[in-house]
Parts: sequence; structure tokens; C-alpha cells
Amino acid sequence: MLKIKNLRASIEANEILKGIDLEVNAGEIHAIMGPNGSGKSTLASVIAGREEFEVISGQIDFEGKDLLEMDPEERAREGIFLAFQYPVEIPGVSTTNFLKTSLNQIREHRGLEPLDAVTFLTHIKERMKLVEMDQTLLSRSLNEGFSGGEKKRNEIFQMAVIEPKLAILDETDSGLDIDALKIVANGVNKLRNKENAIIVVTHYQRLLNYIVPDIVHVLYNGKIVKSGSKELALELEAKGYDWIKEEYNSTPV
Amino acid sequence: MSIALKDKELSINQILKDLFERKWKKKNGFSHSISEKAFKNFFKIGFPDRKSEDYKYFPVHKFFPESPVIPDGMSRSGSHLLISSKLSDQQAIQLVFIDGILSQEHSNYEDRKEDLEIKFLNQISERDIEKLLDDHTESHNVNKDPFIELNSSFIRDGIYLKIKKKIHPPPIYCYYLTSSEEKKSFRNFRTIMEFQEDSRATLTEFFFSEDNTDGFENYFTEIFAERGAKLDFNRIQHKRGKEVLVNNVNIYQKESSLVNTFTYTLSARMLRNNLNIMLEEENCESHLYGLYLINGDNVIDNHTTVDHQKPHCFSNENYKGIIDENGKGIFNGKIYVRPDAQKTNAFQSNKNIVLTDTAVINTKPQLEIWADDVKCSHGATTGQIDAEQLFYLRTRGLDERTARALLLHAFAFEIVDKIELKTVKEYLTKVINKQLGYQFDN
Repeated sequence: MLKIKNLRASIEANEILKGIDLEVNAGEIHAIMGPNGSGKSTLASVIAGREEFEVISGQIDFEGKDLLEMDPEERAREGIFLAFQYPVEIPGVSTTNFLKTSLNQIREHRGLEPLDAVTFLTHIKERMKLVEMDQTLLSRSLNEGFSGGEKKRNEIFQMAVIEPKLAILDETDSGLDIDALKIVANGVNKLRNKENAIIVVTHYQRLLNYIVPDIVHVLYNGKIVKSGSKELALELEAKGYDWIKEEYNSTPV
Repeated sequence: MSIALKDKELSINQILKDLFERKWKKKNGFSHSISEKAFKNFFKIGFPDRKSEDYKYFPVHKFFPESPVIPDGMSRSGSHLLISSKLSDQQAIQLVFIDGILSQEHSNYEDRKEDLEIKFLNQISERDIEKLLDDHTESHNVNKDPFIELNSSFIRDGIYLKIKKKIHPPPIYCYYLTSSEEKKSFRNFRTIMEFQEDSRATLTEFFFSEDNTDGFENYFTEIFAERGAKLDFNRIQHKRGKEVLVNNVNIYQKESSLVNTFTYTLSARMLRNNLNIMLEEENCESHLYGLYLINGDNVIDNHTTVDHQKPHCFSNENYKGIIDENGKGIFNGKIYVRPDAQKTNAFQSNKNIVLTDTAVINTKPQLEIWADDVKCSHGATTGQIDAEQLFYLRTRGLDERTARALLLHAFAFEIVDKIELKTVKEYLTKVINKQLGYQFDN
């Protein structure tokens, strides 16, 4: 589904990603872990198409198409979804109105008819249950005055409505208490199937108790320095990142 | 100062003096002292030029006709398009003026002496006009703008409307339609509205014109809100022609009155709004909402003053603007809190989005506070569309144009949503959405 080859990216002449190779197949869950500043969020942003980052070299292939050639909205329509680490508040834009526009633009791209008001409402109400979201949030402005937890839940709710092929969850666990974390993880698990894939970006192993990854990658200094099974996450939780850094720094280039 | 410039300034004043003394007075035989006094006052202040602090960014002197002509006062037929822009509201009091002259056939009103009173200034005697001004305008001491003095000097066309005590009339609509294509035309119009004790009303003024209209318009609306009166006052300025509009509004509020003022400038070539609110007694409340959309080479200037004269009054002002292309916007918000006006609450906010490198906004809050026990705040922001919000929407599949339109819609509709009257809100929604390229309403 997603093939990243030797991806290098910088912001303001500062190289953050220094050669990423990553392959994600349909049906898989990948976790990307790593210390602060290792480039995890940058990787998520570059896949989603954030324009502040300059791609210096490398390729991102998504289902045979060149992702780097696409605008953010084209990527979304092709099936990429980014759950933001810091979801933006947009006063004056109602969640319902926004989601309807979003879903129908994506559907149009896929050659589907736009949903009428009733079908749309039925669809979103059913999806709200997945993340146990309060219906009153729908009529409010997008994320305005939402608590940190509500914002994160709203991201997963949008994912449930849009049903992307590849979802990237950028530190979705940060700011969530344990109950909210379980609800969000539960929602993600219900959305998981053989056709889609999920990349979970996180600092901590905690979330991975609930969303169990097939493969864990450790990102350090702009590169994936280690990949392994879900046990790798447990090991990181127990030992921290220092041993990874030492291992990496002692490796002759 | 260069001699040439001095000549030009002198010349507008001289031209107006000539117009007033030789043509206007002679023709109308006007001898009443108020008109005379007003022109004297005007002549003392003079026509604003580029040195006038209050008109610094609004070069009105460049747009005044070199040989102005006061229209003959004959009624005109407005074009079909203008008339069709009338909102359909069977219950409403509808007053349609075409170039300042009442269009009887398109208006709908009844002079019911027991609850409301309507007088058209060009149908009553000089003496009656003089008495009206004496009882209203002249009994209030306010700092006068040169255009207010000019308006009183050339007073002839206008309307006086009184809503009597405790009356809740149906919505009142005043349509000021411009049909004249005469560049030299100098049109003055006066509106005096009195809302007596505990009355409750909604007044909407529309300023409409079409593509080829022209001239210089000087409209002055005075609103008297007596004790306990509640008024929603909407102004919709949607002009497509080349005419210049200077629109002064003075609102005088008495004890425990509430006035909500909404000013929507959807388009205009050159438009200046002076909105002055005088809180003359205790416990008054005043809300001022404004939205201006500016594009092309258009210039829209909003000057507002809220004058807190007595204690325990509340004022809240929220103006927003979207400036596109080479548009130029000006906002100046004065708040005065007089020594007497303890326990005043006064708030002001002005937010702007500029869409191009050539769009300009000059914004200036001006607070003068002489009382010590008050709560006042003000804030102004100017920026572009928020990049993070734009990116967020795009990652959800919205193309850039749609996302921008959605964000502009959200910005503007904070102000539009405040309006209560359904017909007016629908009209605004339709026009503003079209202008912002927004087409995704549920």
C-alpha cells in the first residue's frame, strides 16, 4: 500500500528526515516510536502533505501513485488520513457541515454519489457510537472549546466517518486519560480490517496495549534505526531510548 | 502647503457656498435659520481634505463633483432590478426612496396616528422642518461632522417617523435606491426616527444601486431611543455603482434603552460610515456589529464613536472585515467615557483578513477615559487566512478554494448570525456566500 524510499525532508534548511525506508501493507498496523525530536511527527506531516516541509529526495508511493506529486486534498481523497497531534479549532465551522463537505468531496473523487442529508446523518450518528462521542459536539464549531480528550476523540470520529485506506495517528494518545484512551483505541480497532492500514505514532507503549501493532519501528535522528515485533515496544518502555541511541551512535557509518 | 492645494480646498468650499447662496436658497426660498446656521458651521469647518485627521485615509475631496447640482426633486422610476431587490414581507412597513424621492407605488405604509406617525420632509412646510430639527437634532449637543452640517444646509428630502409609547410595530424597511447616472448630482437625504418610551422596533435601511449609477450622496440618519425603548437597527449597503456615499448615523439613547446596530457593507465604490452613539442617561445598552467586504479598488471607511456620558452603561462593538484585491479598509473606533460615567463597561474588537499583498487596512482604536471606575477593553487583529486551519481542512479532502471559502464564511458569519430578522438574514446569507464563493450550506 505505502512504500517510502530513502525519504529526506527538511524545514528551514534543517534536515529532519535523513533517509526513511518504510513499507506498509493492507491489513497491517505499524507503530513508530522514538524519542522527542526524532522526526516522528515530521514523517506523519510529510505523508499528509504539509507544505512547510521540503522533500529533498526520496519517494512515497501509495497504491502505485506518486504521493509527493499530490496536494494534501488529493492525498486525502486517495485514502490518506492524518489524525492531528494538535487538532485545530475552527470557530464558526460546524462539525456536521464540515464533515459533510469533506465526505462528499472524497466520495466524488471515488466516483460515488454524494450522500443526502438523511443518509449522512444516519451514517455519522452510527459512527459517533464507535468513539462514544456526545452528539452535542456535532452542532458545535469544529473543536472550539473542546477539551484535549474531546479533540482527539473527534479525530478518530472523523476517521470513522471518512474510512480512509491509510490512517496515521500522530500521538493520538497524548492528553488522554486511561478511560478515553481505551475508548479511542477500541474505536480504532473496530475500524481495522484487511483492506486498510494504520500507522500509530507514539512516545509510549501504553497505547499499544490496546492497538496492537504488527511491526514496531524506532525512529531516531531522522532514520528508522530498528524494527521489530510488538515486544520491541515493551523493551523500549522498560529500558528507555538510551540503549537505542548508544547502539546507533556506535555503529560505524 | 502648496498654493495649488490651497486653491483646490478653497474651491470646494467656495463651490458649495455658491451652490448654497445663489442657487439653493434662491430656488427654495429657504430662509429658516437652521439651514443658514448649518451652512455657516460647515463653512467654518470646511470640506475635509487630506489634512483632516478624521478623513486622512478617505480622500473624499477627490471625489466631490467640480460643479455639483442638486437634483430637482422630481420623482423617478427606479429600474426593475432595484425594485425587485425589495424583500417580500407583507406585514412590513416598506418605504422606497429613489434618489431621495418617495416612490409611492412601491411603498407600503399607513399613517396611523395612534401608534405611528410618518412625515415626508418635502411635503411639509419649512417651519415644520425647522421645528423638527429644533426638537430633535438641535436639542442634543454633539460634535458635528462637516457632512452633517451640509446635510442640514441642504435639507429637503427625507423622512420623519415616530413610533409611539409602548408600540411594537411590524418591521420597518427603508430602501434608498440610487438610479441617477449624473456624475454632478449631489444628493442629501435626512432620516429622523423617534422611538418613544418602551417601544420595540426593528428598522432596516438598504442602500442599493446598479452598475452605472453615479454622483455624491450624503445621507444622515438620526435615531432617538427614548427611555426603555428597544431597537434593532440594520443597515445593508450593497452598491454596485460609482457613486460616493457618506452615511452619518447619530443614535441618542435615553435611560434603560437598548440599541443593536448592524452595519453590513457588501460592496461600494467609496463609502464612509460615521456611526455615533450617545449614551445620554443611565443603564443604556448598545451593541455595534459590523461587517465589510472590500474588493476592486474600493474604499470603505467605518468611523464609530460610543460616547458614555452617564454611569452604568454597557457598550460592545464587534467589527470584522475581509479585504481582497486592491481594496482599502479603514476602521476607527472611539470610545469616550466622560467623568460622570462611572461603572461603564465598554468593549471593542476589530478583526480583519487581508487576502492579497495589495489589500490595505488601517485600524485604530481610540479610547478616552476620564472616569476611574470603568471596565474597557479593545483589540484589533489583521492577518491572512490561518495556514494551519487551511491545511487541516485540506487533509480532510476539501480543495483549497472550498477550504478558504469555508474559513471566510466562518469568519464573516459570526457577525451575520447576530441578526434576528429572518428576511434580512436570508438576503445577507445569499449575497455574502456568493461573494465568498461559499456554496456548501446544509
